[in-house]
This record gives sequence, structure tokens and C-alpha cells, in this order.
Amino acid sequence: MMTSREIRLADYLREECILCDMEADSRDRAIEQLVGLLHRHLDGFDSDKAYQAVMARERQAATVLSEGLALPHARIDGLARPVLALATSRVGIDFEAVGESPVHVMVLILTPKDDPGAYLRLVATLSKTLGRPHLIKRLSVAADAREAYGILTEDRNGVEVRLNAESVMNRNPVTLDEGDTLAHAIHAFCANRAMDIPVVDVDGDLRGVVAIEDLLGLSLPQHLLWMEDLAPIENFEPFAELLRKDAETKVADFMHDTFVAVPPDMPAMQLSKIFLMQHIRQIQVLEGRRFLGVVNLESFISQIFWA
Amino acid sequence: MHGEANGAVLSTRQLLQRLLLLLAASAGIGAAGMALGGLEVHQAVASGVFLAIILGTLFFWTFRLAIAFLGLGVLIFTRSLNIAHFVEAAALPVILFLVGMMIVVGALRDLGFFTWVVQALISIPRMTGRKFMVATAVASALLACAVDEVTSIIFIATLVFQVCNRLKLSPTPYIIICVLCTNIGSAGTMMGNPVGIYIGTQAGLTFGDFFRWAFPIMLVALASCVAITMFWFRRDLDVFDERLAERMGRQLSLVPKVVVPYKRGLAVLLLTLAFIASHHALEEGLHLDKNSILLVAPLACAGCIMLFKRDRARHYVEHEVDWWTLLFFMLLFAIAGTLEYTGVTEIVAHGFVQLCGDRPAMLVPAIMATTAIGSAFVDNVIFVAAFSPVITELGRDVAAMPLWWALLFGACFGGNITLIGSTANIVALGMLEKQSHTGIGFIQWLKIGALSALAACLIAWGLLVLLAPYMA
Repeated sequence: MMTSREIRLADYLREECILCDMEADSRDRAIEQLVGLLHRHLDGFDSDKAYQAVMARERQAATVLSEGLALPHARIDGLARPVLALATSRVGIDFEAVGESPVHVMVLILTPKDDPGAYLRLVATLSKTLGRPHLIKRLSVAADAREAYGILTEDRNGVEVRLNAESVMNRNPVTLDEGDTLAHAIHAFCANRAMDIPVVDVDGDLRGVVAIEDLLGLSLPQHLLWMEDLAPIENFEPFAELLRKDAETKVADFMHDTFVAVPPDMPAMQLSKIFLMQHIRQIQVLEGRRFLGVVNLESFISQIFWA
Repeated sequence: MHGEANGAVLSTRQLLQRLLLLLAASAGIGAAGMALGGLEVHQAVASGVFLAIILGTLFFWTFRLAIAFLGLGVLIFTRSLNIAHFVEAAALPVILFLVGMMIVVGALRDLGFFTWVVQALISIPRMTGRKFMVATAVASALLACAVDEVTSIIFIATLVFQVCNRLKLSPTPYIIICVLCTNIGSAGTMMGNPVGIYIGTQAGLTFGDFFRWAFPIMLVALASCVAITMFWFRRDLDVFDERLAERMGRQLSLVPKVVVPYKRGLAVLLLTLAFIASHHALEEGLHLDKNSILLVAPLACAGCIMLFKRDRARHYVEHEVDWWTLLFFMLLFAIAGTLEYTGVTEIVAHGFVQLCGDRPAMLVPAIMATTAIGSAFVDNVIFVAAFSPVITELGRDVAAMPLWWALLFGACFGGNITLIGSTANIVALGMLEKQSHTGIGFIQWLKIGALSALAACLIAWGLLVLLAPYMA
């Protein structure tokens, strides 16, 4: 499933399955058009069922991979081989992903139900191909399918697929600065439904991580946690004082600097082990001290098992 | 020297090289003892193994238990010790006393006793920085008396970190104050430090003896330590005062004030202390062996706690008892017992008398100074275990009680001299590094540590000389 293999996008994406500057104004409409486009040119699957499967997956968790790029996908019964369809939008489409900007490039991935590894191989290939500098921008303004296809296939060499931290990480997670206030952090946690937020400085270096538990720890001092049972404590409003000071308490005061960091080429198998053995929810991907992104357990699992 | 890191970071080759060096040094000293000191073979082996334990704790702190295992093996193989004497010398009752106390401490934590102490400290009316630090330092000493020094410093240091964090102060000076006072306080009772209960059992001293003689001397020494540290860190305390006043002015508390249900925890502690304190009267009334109730009292209390808190019983035994340290103590006592068994301590005792004479006025400071300086660098339990048979030997000719107290105060107060002098120091420094990513320099500690230890030892010496005639 996570083996090296040469993959070329041209083997899965045909020029006629590319739709430039689509007119859809919503995520659902965009996916419907992409499924329809694929079905017109590549028969062999039920378009209604495919649409329902893609939407069901999308509702579980948005498939926005990085800024401006979404990879809606599903595993379909009876499909002979993986197929792709690509659409672009100059104005951008809201993919209903919390904290993400509008999507300009969408790649629909349909893979056979009996080949669960196909999706991972394609995602690894796409993230490597579409991760090239300015590629999303160039694709989003491509005049027609021929130009977009040319951009995608300009590198004739196949991409060696090695599923690693770089290919599964979120390149654009919500981050905080050490000087941000507690009020700002609380808003970031709630608005983004995040559990862990990296703290990155102006140079792009990772300084620490704030976990949702750090907010609790800030209001419940250590000496209270010594007790086995806190139920008998009455008239205690630990959060009131915390919130009174939320504009003056800085992130640096309560972030922790013990986090698990890996280099971008760390194999996904090793990431699985780290998640399993260290009971963590987020792995930081660093190059030296420079912050590249995060691998969240939830999205990692969804990429592996819910593809 | 016995930071947890040493030894653990060595490569296998480096480790083997150092172990061989340790072996060679120990064997060399043993052989020299035979050739020059007239020791017999068994005495030389026992001395060599004991020296290996001392060097092991100095240079291989993380492997001290492994070295103790190997040392015991050498003693048994060379017939320097047999199993019967091993069991006798291992001080099993002392180990079980410590097991019982550790379980009681675990239950006290669960029941909120320590939370209540911390809440009481931060609820002092009209609080100032100095008032807070004096109260915290005295509390750390008294808590060390009631439970033990390591437990005390863990809870008190957590409070200090919390308060310093709120006031944006460096916790270093305040941690030093509390640790120094904790070490002093640990000499007040036989529960304060493992050496206390060991001395109590070896000397046949009761809880009442400790309360009558050791506790008052400890209080005077504590007062001197508080005064010296308050003066030494006066500038830091000025800043503490300013920040605290500023925070109070903004009507912000140091920590959230809560009403802690402390009564059950306090009752457990008081009942345990009462049981321990009444051991002598009970033993006499029931015609039991001396100190037999003293040694089983914490176990009996722990048993009651484990019955009432059945769901936590396994947790207490498995996680609250520091089995690693207790095993080390057990082997250490046995190896030190071999020194007595083979007659080495008799030779040392005679040497001591030849050097210092047999007058308590000379022996008290000599024992206290030797133990204090030794405890500054090596685990004080090692020194006390080795010295106990020597004092037993000396006690045949002179009044032993002042000598036992000199040993106790030297071992406890000497822990203040260096930052590796006691387990409480090491635990507090570890917490400091983890919390605020700062360390304390050896010299930075030595200046105030040696000063406070010197003052405390001088006070103890003076009071022991004054009180010796009454210690019949």
C-alpha cells in the first residue's frame, strides 16, 4: 500500500476531463459537474452513486489539501481503474472548510473499491505535482483544458511515489504567534475546531505548540490536580479569572515546547508508529527549525482509511 | 555528581571503561587495605565493595542499583557475607516503614491534604513577598518532618513555580530557600529522611526521643536558615514584594482560591502520626520489642487506607512506592552491614577514637563534620549506613546519644552544602530545569548552601554539647 512506484498523471487524467473556469458557485455544484464530466467521457460507473459517495466523504471532513486546492474523492464499486477529473475556478469556490480560503483547483479522484492503496498513490503524486511553486495559480488562470493539461504534464518524468510526511501534511494549518493573546488563541481554537495549534515566529520557525489542554491547565493549577476527586470543590469559577485576563495573557505564557517533529521525508509508516506509540494528535513537519506543516491524526487516518 | 544524566549518556565502550576503572579503584583500595592497613581478606572485600557503591553513586547514579546487585554478588561469592546476615542487615523493617509512609503520602495527595496546605499558604491575610516566603519555607520544613523531604519539596516547589509564573519572576532563589529549609526540616523527626528511621532503629531511639531532642534543635537551625536566606536573597524578595503588591492592586489572585475538603486527609495524617508517636507507650504496655510498633504503624495505616480506597490500592503500591530506591537502600544496608560483620567498623571506630579522643565534645563535631562533608557529595544514606556500626562501637565507651544526633544532623544539614547533596535538591533542580529551563550553578548554590549548612551545624553542635548531660 505504501510502496514506491512510478506514477504519471497522464495515465489517469485525460485532457477532455479538465474543465477550466467552471461556473459552479458552491462546493456541491462543483462536485456534481466534475462527476458529470468524468461520467460523460469514462463510462463504467453510476454517476449518482459516485456523487453521493464523494459528498458523503466531503461531509465527514473537507478535502482541502492546501491553499486553493481540494481533492474530493471516493472509492467506487465496479470501477476498473482510478480516474481523475480536474476543474479550475478563477473566483474560487467555498469548500466549507473551516479556516480555509476559496478553492481554485479541484481534482476529483475516483478509485476502485478493491484497490484502497490507489488513492494514496494518486494523492502523493498530486501533492508532489501540484506542490510545485505557483502551479495552483498557473492552473487557475489557464485559458483552456489543453493549456491546463500542458501545465500538469510539462514534467514528462514520472513521479516516484513515496508516501511521506510531506505528501500527507497540511501545508497551511492555522498557526499562532508567541505574542498573540489568549483571547486570540481561544478564538483560533473555536473557529477552526482545532485541538493543537503550532506557534510560529516571523521567520517561519516553530516555537512551540498550544494544545486545547493548555487552556484548561492555565485555569486549573497543578496543585488542584493532585486530588483524585475534585467533585467536592464548590463555588469555584476557575475560568472567570482566566477570561478576565485574556487580553493580557500571551501565547508564550502557556504554550509548550515539547512536541513531536519529523522531517518532510519521514515515511508515512513511521508517522503511523509515532501516532500509535506516543498517543499524540499532531506531528509537526520541520526542515531544520523551519515549519513546513502538520500531520493531524484525523486527516492522516481519513487519508488512509476513508479514501 | 549524581545527576540522572550521568552514565545514561555514555556509549557502551565508555561505560565499560569507567566501570573497569571503578572496579580497579575499589579492588586497589581493598588490596592496599590488606597490604598496608592489616585488613583480612573478607574485610578488604567488604571495604572494596562499599567503596564501589560510593564511587558508583558518584559517577554512575543511574546504575547505582545494578552496582549494588553486583556488589552483593561479590560479597556472597567471596563468603564475606552469608544470606542469613544479609537478611539481618538489610533492615527490612525500615524498608517496610518507608513503604507504608509512601502509601500514606499517596493517599494524602488523593485526599487533597497537600492541595489544602498550598491553598492555606496563598490565603495568608495581608500577604507580602517576605511573609509568603517565610511561611512557605517553614511549611516545607514542617511538611518534611511530617511526611518526608522529597514529598515536601515536590509539593512546595510546585507552589513556588506557580506563584513565580504568575508574578513573572525567576523561581531560582525561592526554590533554593525552600530546598535548604526542607533539608533542615528533614532532621526533625524519624519520618523526615530515610536516615532518621535508620538511625532510630539502629540506636533504639523512639519517636519521643526525636521529638524531645532533634525537633527543637531543628527548629533553631531552621530559624537561622530562614534568616540567612532572607538576607541573602533580599533583593529578589524586594522584587517579589513589588510584583505581588502590583498584582494585588489589580485585584488578581496568585492562584484560584478554592475551598478544599481537607478534613479526611488531615485525619489520616494525624492518626498516622499519633499511631507512630504513641509507639513507645504501646510497646511498653503490650510488652512488645522496642520500636516494633513504630515500624509497623505506617504499614497498618496503609492497610486501612487500602481497605477504604480499594479501587486505588494497587495504584498506591505500584506507583506511589519508589521500589527502585527502596531496593537500593536494602542492598546498601546489607553491604554496610558487611563492614560490621567483618569487623571493619571496629577498626574505623578505633581509628576515630585515636584521632579525636573519646570525649563527646570532640567526637560530636568530628562525626558531624565528616558526615556533613560526605553527605554533600554522596547519598547521605550511604554515610549513615557506614557510620552507624562505628557509632555503635564508640557507644560502648562513651554516651552514644549525642553521637547519633551528630550523625543525623551532619547527614541532613550536610545535604545543603552542594546542589547534589540530597535527593530533595536533585528533585527540585530537575523540576526547575523542566519548568523554567534554567539551572543553578554549582558555585551559586555552594555559597548560600554551605553558609546555611555551616550555621545549622554550628547551632546543632552547640546545642548538643549543652544538652548532652541531660541525654541520659
